Amino acid sequence: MLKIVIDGKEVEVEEGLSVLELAEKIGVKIPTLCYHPAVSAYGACRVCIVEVIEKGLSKLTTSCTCPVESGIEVKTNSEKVKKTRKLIVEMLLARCPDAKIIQDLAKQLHVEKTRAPQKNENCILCGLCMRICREIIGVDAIGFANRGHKRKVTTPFEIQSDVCLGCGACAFVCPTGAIKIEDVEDKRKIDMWHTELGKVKCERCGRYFFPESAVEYVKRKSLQDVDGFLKLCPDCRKRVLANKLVCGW
Amino acid sequence: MNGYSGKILFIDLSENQTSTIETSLYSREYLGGRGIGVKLLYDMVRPKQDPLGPENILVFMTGPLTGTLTPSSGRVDIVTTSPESNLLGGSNAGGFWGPELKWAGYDGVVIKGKAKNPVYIQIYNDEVKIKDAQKLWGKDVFETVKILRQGNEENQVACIGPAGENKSNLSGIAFNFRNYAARAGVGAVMGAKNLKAIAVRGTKGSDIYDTKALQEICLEIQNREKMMPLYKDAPSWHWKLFQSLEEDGKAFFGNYESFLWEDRIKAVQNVKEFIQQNHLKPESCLTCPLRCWAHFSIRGEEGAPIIACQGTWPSIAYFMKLSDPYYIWRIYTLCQKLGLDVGGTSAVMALAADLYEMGVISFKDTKGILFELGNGKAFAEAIEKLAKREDFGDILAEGIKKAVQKIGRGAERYAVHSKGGTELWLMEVRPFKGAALTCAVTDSGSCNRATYAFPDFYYRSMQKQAKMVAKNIVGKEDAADPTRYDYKPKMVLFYENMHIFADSLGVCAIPFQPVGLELWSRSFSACTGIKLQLKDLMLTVERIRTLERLFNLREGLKREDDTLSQRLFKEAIKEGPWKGEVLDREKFEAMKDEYYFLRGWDNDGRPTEKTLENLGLK
Amino acid sequence: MKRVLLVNWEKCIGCRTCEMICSLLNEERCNPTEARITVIKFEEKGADFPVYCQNCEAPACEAICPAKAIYKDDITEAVLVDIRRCIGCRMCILACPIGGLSFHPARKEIIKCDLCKGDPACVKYCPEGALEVVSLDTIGVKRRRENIRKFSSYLDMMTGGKE
Repeated sequence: MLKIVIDGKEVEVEEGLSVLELAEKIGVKIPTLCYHPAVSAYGACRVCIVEVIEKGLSKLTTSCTCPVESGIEVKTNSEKVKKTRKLIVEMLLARCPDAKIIQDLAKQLHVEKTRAPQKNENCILCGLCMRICREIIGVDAIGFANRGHKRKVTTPFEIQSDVCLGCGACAFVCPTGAIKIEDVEDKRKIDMWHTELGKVKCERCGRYFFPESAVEYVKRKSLQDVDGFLKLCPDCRKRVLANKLVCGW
Repeated sequence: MNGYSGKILFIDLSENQTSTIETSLYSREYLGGRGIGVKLLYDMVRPKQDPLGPENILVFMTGPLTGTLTPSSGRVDIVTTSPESNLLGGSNAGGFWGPELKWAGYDGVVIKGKAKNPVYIQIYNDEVKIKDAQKLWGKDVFETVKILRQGNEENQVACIGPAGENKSNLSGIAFNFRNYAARAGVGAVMGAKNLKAIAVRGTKGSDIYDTKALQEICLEIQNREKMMPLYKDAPSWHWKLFQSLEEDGKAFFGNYESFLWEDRIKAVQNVKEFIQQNHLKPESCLTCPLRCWAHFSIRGEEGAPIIACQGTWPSIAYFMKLSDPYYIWRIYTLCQKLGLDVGGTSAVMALAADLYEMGVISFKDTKGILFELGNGKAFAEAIEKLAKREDFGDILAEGIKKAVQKIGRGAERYAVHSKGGTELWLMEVRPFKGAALTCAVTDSGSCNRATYAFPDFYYRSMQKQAKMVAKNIVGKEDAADPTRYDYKPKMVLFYENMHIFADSLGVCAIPFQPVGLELWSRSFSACTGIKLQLKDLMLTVERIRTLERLFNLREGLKREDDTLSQRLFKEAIKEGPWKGEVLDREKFEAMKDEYYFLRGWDNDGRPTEKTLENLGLK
Repeated sequence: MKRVLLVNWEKCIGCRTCEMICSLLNEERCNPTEARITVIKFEEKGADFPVYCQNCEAPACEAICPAKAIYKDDITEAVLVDIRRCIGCRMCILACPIGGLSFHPARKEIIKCDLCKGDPACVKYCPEGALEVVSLDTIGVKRRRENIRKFSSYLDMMTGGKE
């Protein structure tokens, strides 16, 4: 067990946690954008910065990537932290003025206007989508391309992905909602990844319920599809279950 | 909005347009359901319009409790001008259609105008589509529901059968395969608008103000309902009803003719065996513990649920003197498929048989159909023709009063009907003076929805209960005696009011009184967040009742129209437990005087200036 | 001892009170589409069947969740979703053979029966007592298997394979 001080309080905690995870555990709120408990921390958005004092030296660091070590003192909302976080959000707001989550953060921190040149992006280049796709889903369909101001997240060669499942997890986790998924009849379109995928048609009701590649993924990883349920949408699976009962009625 | 969905949907079939208004414009003063229905009818329809014309409106209105956790909350009320009576027409249905409409975001739907070609309406939350119904026109109720559920299995369908399409005054509106708003010819109004069906699918749900309170109240109401004597009997009620009719002395046979039929024991026995052999499972409407429906499966036939409690099977058996249960079943199913009011149709068949026997109509008139009591085959044939308005069926389809007027030749002597010409269903009212008064004064659009559970009816079999009820309402036990004329007006008032509450709140009339107004009001407050004082409730009920009256007065109703057919005043019952009973005209009129007074109306049955002012109806 | 929800199908009268109370408790609204239990009706045949997540012994959803967001509750052993860890990929929905999970359209969360922290409300509100909580003692295990055998080919996955 490690002993540290956080916001003036002494706490004891097991090894292996990051400062952010510790804060969550004890109920201290630190804002984040690019953090997700299921994937590795990246420290991209910088919003979760805290002040860490170790051996008398103070530094500002992202709490998501900072491991808890014995004897450190953490300040999650000191003047230094507040000032720096405000600046970070000010720059994020300049890049993505229309992103609601950033607008809300700005409001919280009393950021009224931005001094940096305005852009009109939605993506904050936090890489959360990429990490989810690589580490959790495991198909690695998207990644960073280019450097500097040309940096973006995209598919290899910016063309239709041949590994994307169309599961939509990237859109789900994206903090600013920059990734848009469009379901049109029998296709799922993700414009940002230049990708269009066919959906499976439910054998019973005819509705197109999920991208074929995602269903294939389940087929590969899941238990044997004894009764062909993977060809049915979830609502029809309920009905088929009930139908079996009726037959025995 | 809590409890209520907040919007009422208006569909103009002539202009092919839809729009919505806020329910809150009406909910304060008229509560919901029947209350808002009559208000809309009064405001939107000019006096003396043709009920089958485009100016008439057809209102489907749920109540604030419809589609919530409140038990027995599956109801929707239908209000329109009736083509059968040319007065206010009203009917009510249970099941799941009303709740689905609430969950789609609408407290009600109002249909006006007339479509150029047959159409149906599909509602899916905010999406309201008027679609071509050429392929559906001519199909029976069961087929229509099946087709509209293809690819949309949770679609709740309200539709008419061929009877409604042919504008028979005995046609009703079916809700899925089972429930019906059967009375007042509401199906004809829908058919006249070229509207085959309204299908609804709703996924928004009903918002509730106080979820904890509603949960507690739900269990309390469930417990009260389970204490009703009907609760225990409900699954076997389908044949037990026959017995209870006997015990109450309510069973009569043919055209209100005989009280003794040698086959009646056999008929009951046959039905009992039939039901016990083929009974599958009891069923309920939304959130109702009572399970008064039962599903039957007849070998080799497509089954459809049978109704209990409202006397549809006894109607068929007793009116037409049919002791063969297969024929009763067949005729019931026929009515369900064609979209006909079972009670009304049975009464019309009995009348036809009576007229045939007495020689008022002949073989030539009926174009070969042998109308005789016990001849199930002939009746089945006649019912098909009634639905299609073919040959003699065209006259019978008018409903009893208009039919005998058309036939002439003194046929009116034999007719038994309620105010406006609506069939009395399986209700002999000559011995039951209070029930008779209700049928004469009601402006609710169908007499049965005013008389339900009236103590006159169960005096013989449950005297103690009837006496207790009488004591509670009028302070005198002996007032329960059905053959008395005094004290009845007050009791009629009480039951009318109860029914108006049930129909306006959107809950079933069957458990309404046993559960008690207090619990329903608490449920209303829990769902909507609106506190109801008893004083306001009583004022609201009077307002709704008086507005119904104003509507009918505007349509030309006079004091002398508050009556029943002549026969009930002229002809005494010949035999049986109520031998000699007949309605005394003088005493009847005295009951009316007292009733009008209690309602705050003058001696002509017109609301006084003071009453109108009190109720905000000037 | 683990308790599971069992249906006595012949008792169901199709009143849908279970749908009403489930959505009311979980979503503060009476809305069947937001309930964790659905009554499938066969109106022409007169049959009604409540269907819901079976809280399987070897859940397909838990096995497939790439984010390891599905787990069994310490006390009730109900199969639960850690909403914080969920990445919204919907593989769990796809993997369940009986459609036991769904995605709440407004709150954007996976929803499924969680046995109401061990005291299922639907059991209390069903007027016919068609829904029952059964402890998995010897008799309970047997009853559960008999029940599930009638509607699913995934008997072992759901009940753990022991007779």
